[in-house]
Amino acid sequence: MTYCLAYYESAADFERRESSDAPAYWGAWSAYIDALADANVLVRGAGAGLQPPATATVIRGKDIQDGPVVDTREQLGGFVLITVESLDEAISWAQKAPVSGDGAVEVRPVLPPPAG
Amino acid sequence: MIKSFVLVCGVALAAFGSGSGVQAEAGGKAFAIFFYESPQGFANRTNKESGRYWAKWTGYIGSIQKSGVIESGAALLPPSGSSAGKASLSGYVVVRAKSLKDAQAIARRSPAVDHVEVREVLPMAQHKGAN
Repeated sequence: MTYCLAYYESAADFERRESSDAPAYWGAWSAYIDALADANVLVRGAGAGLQPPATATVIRGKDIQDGPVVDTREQLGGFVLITVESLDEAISWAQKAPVSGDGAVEVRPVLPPPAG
Repeated sequence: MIKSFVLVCGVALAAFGSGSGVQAEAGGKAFAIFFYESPQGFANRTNKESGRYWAKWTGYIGSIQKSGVIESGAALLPPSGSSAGKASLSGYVVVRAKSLKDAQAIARRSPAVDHVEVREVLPMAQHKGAN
């Protein structure tokens, strides 16, 4: 089954990307993505790291606003699609992600293709 | 690379790639467009509105695929448990566009949703996790 793992990070986490901590931050994510690839669960070409929330635009109907939806502390930092045998396995991969204590990972099944 | 799920006319989408081998427009930047729907929006996938719901989405995704800008995407199952009426991520596409404005224009054509978030994708250094 294919799952989307969406990684949510706090403002402090995003700041780490530009700080002296940056090599550790990116190193941890690189290692994690490589582990997904090595385990042959990563759906290639499907995931992406995202620019920080300040670069987001939110569109509601005709209304366009700069910046992310503000009523959440955690914002999307990136996502991957993985193909695994079970939800438990997906969760296990989600738990390995280098999100900080302020962050979260959302695990969501991808819609299966229709029968026939 | 065409993903394992195939777009079947008029029926639900799963994960999909850039379609019939049309190369995404060279140059430009990759933008992720995230669609958020309310619980009612998710309900419309399977209630009596479902024919209209899927027709609109198939049309929208099909038109982006035809213009050759789509790199990947997926529709997601709704969250389990209650979201307390708030909108949740329902799917996403990653498209290639010359500018944020162009990406926004693509986002705005989506069928009615609670809201859409457009975010530029990081130019990741190539490593074995990328395609």
